[in-house]
Amino acid sequence: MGLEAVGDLALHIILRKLGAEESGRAACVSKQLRASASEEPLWSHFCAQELHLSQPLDPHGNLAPSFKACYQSWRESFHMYPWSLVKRVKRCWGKITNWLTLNFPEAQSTLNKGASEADIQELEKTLKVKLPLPTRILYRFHDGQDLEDKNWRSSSRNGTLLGLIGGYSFYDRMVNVCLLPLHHIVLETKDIMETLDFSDYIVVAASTTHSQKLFFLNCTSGQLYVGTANLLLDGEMLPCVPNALLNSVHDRQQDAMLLWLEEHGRRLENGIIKLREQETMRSICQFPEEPPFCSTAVTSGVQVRCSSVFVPEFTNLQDTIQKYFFSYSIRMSLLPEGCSINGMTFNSCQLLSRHWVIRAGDVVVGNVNAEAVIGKYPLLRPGEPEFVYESCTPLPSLSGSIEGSFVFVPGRLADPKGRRFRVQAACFPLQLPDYIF
Amino acid sequence: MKKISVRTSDGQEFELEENLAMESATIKTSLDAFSRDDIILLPNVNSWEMVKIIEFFTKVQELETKFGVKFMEKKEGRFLEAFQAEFDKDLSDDNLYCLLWTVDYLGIEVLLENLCHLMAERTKNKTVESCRNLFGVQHDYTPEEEAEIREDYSWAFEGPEIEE
Repeated sequence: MGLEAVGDLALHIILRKLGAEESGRAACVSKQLRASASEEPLWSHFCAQELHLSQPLDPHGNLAPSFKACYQSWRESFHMYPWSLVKRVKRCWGKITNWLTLNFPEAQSTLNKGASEADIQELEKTLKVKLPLPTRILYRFHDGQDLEDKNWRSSSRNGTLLGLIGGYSFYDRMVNVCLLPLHHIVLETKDIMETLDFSDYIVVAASTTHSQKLFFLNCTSGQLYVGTANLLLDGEMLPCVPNALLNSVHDRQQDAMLLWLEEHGRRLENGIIKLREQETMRSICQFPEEPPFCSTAVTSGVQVRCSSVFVPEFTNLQDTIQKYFFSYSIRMSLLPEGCSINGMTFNSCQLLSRHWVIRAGDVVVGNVNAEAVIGKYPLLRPGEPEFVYESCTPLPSLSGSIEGSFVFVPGRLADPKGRRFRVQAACFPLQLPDYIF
Repeated sequence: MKKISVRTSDGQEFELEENLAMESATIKTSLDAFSRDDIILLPNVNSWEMVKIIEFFTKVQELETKFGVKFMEKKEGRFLEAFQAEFDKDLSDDNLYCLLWTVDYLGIEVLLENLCHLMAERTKNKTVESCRNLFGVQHDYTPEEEAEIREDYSWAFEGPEIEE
């Protein structure tokens, strides 16, 4: 008795366990095995398992005539890359696009379809670089974002807020980072290299707003960098991905950009960062929303949430006092039960003043005691959306913290209903992060 | 626990524990149709196969207790590996085929998974030619046909292949 006498079910299970490649080889063994290895349920399984496809969609997003044809089209389209790397990139994009489709569809629709091998080779020739394999595959899936019709690089202060990476805003500064499509990479790289003259670096991501924030990919080392305040003067940059993670890979597979996007996808998926809505405009906000980087405290019914973000483009590594720059976001709200002090409940309260203690390590470097927050005296009512404001601070070291409190008045400042009370803002970290976005 | 009696093709009788017997879809169907006191006839099963199947069942129950994997539930890696470690070396390819057929016929899902796993492990990374020997199949492609199908599946040939 041989394998062919074994039942169809057993054959199917065996081929399924062998995997797609082995099943393909099994098809070359004999005609009967080819028949068994051609069955749709088998390829439907492989499409689901390896490519997370529940429908036979080819790399261009078109329906293939069968799951087998679909799987084959993917393998053929990406035959120039290690298949495991292709699967990994697909998973990475999948996570991001799933989140976008659910939460931020207007940004999802700016994602271009994949670039062709020819497009990529054209860029490599023009800029005289060799892209790391994972980055090539990233662009084969999506050629950056299409923001042409949305005030790209316009003089308008707001630019577009549909950047995939998102950003932050504080005072009059707004940052929103998007992934550049290949033709923009060429333009931006040529533009900046007139000043910097670095070979082997390309600009892959940038803020679409008036504020300059540029991300560079070093095509030799594969590391991703972001420009600091000294970028134009000194070419000063910070690595965006932990070097240790990067150095564990070799053979043109150094993949800082892939690691960076994988981390971003993880943060979105886990709700560590979320969408922010400001005056009806939505954007991905880089201020963490979850502990340990976001602190929460509730005092007398007033909830205060705080977190910070590292601002590399204002960081100046050559300055000893004001070296590292951070922005922080404070969100305050009154819980539905209202403001309760000593057994009495009030249905509003208003901020009078703030007190902040800023530390670099354990050393106090700032102590602020002043009225209002960014010139405002927010009035809180039960169950209303959070009042959010952002401010910023430099720090002489790469690690520190802020904690403080606010003085509130029950009722309103113009019509106080009771004595002033203090509301805690729990300690939150200021930390040079391992991944910089 | 009640015992179910079965008789194999060569006339030998075996007593199976009820819960094990019920794992076989075929035996279960027979039991539903007839009285439980009757002997179930299995004309397509040899006695040596039955011995092996009982051995397998016992091992699967042991592994279930050891790993806490419910009988018939997700056939996870350690479960498959432990089974393989125990039975793989003493099972010839021909015997494995016979058992695969029998277990399929009896409809014992968990054993089928395990035996398929054994077979898959033996097939991995073999060249097409050595697969033919292993599977005992005829090479029925003409050179042109073979070239054509290899071209079709060219992406499948980029991994390692072990000559045997």
